[in-house]
Amino acid sequence: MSIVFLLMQVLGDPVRRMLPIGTSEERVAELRTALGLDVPLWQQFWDFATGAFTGDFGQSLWLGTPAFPAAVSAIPHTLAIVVPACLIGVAAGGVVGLAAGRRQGSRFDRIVMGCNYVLISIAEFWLALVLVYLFAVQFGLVATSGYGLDFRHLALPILVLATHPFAHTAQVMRASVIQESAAAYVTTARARGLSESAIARRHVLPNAALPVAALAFYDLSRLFIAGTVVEVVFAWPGLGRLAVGALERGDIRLVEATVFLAAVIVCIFNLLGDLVAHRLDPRIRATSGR
Amino acid sequence: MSTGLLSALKKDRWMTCVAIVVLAILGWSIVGPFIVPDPNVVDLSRRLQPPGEGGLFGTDALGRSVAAQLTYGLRTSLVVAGITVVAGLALGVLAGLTAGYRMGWTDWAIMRMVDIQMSLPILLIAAAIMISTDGGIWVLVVILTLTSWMVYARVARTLAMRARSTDFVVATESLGASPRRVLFRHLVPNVLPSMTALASLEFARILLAEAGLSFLGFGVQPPSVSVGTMIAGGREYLVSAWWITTFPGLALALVVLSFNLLGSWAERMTSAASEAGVSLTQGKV
Repeated sequence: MSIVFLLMQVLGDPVRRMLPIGTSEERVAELRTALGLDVPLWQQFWDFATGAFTGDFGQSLWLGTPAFPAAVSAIPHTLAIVVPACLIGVAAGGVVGLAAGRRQGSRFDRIVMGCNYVLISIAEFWLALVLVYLFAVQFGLVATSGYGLDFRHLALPILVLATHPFAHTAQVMRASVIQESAAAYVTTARARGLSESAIARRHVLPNAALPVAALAFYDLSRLFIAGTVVEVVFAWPGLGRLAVGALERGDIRLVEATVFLAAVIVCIFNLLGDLVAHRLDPRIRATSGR
Repeated sequence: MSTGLLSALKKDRWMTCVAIVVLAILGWSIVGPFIVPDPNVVDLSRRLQPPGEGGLFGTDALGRSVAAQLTYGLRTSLVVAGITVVAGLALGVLAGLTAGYRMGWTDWAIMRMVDIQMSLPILLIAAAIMISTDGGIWVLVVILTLTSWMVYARVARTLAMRARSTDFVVATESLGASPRRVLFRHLVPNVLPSMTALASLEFARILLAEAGLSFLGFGVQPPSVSVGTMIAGGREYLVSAWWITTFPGLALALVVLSFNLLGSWAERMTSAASEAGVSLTQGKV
């Protein structure tokens, strides 16, 4: 059910409906004569709708090049920080969450939970600025901003973006481990004389990891958009920063292209999350009737 | 917040501390603007003074007091988030209850709208709307509300579907009550207490979202100050004047953390209570 719907999303229906209304009303009035946009709104909408299918959004006023290729070429830059951040955050969060869940109520568990709350409560752009001040300005370990596929440029953006997936995963993993540990199959395994670490590794972990795996994709789709502020702070030439630049300059063609692409990518990640959840857990398949 | 949750709050010493922090911040954002000087007074002879000589939190590039700006900025952020939470709660609860109570195609239509909104790049669309309307604070509130109602709608729908077959609803219906009467007189008061936790968590999330938008320049516009615009303003002076960005960020983190802690505590309490078969958040039926 949700898959069918998300597919409809990928085809861009709501975005096409929203964008001309959201972005163009006033700008179009201003730029109408300059751009030859004095055609009826429905015709612009039609052009936009057909353009979205063929990847033709017109010329970007800011860049002076076609908007769609410019937006597409920014995607790999965003993925270069978002994907590693998500992988690192989910992996680290999974390990920490597992350890915390196995020692529920211990000091370690309480510290982890406390840190999680602090991490999700800090604004990412502010954390980015603080880390720039500490590690780039004070210690000179990394670059303050700019693009480069090396440690100096990648470390801070990835670290900042990894905080929320980390906290999120640790929380879900912990809750999931606690829930699974109370299940009958764990008692059975214990009665069979398995060691606690073998139970955790072979029985609890595979089941507890299920919600985390799907969550990773939802986090990825969230990061793709939330990464915008981080890209702006680090002057990272990704899709989000391009969209912000286009918005500041009133470059409607580029705004349409970037927001359309962002919507498509967000939907793809959400769809992957749904697929992974269905694939890994037969129970969801059974309840949703495929 | 209902009386059940409040008395449980008093027993938990740690949570009482958090609640006191929240009350202190809310209190200061109401009283503070009457005490601190006008945050927009420019005094170039006092520019970029560090904390201490330049007041509690120092001064910014135009010699304005960071503490005074923070007082007004927090108030703006809290007011925006507060109105958004109330509006989103009202919209979401009504939509969710209608969907869950009516079922059928109404339910289908409302829940598809929820799905659509959940899978859109909200931040960018919000920024686009802010830019194209030259938006003021009210536009910001409307946009943030539209990003927030779905959460309540989902929960309210589940609760309504559970409630529609309970005795009191069936009894009211059989007495000839109209759907509207059932909805407003019985279902709304019944589900509102369960939304306490959700509203607190949403308050924290909206504070962060507003700060992010304002930081990018798509949120609160000058001369109004918000925490986000303050951090953006201090960015250029990160190296020479760390205090301009540090204190607003810390204050924001403290508020958001407090509401997150309160929200998830309330969530734990209500779910633990419902598992035990006790109603902490007693709804009036």
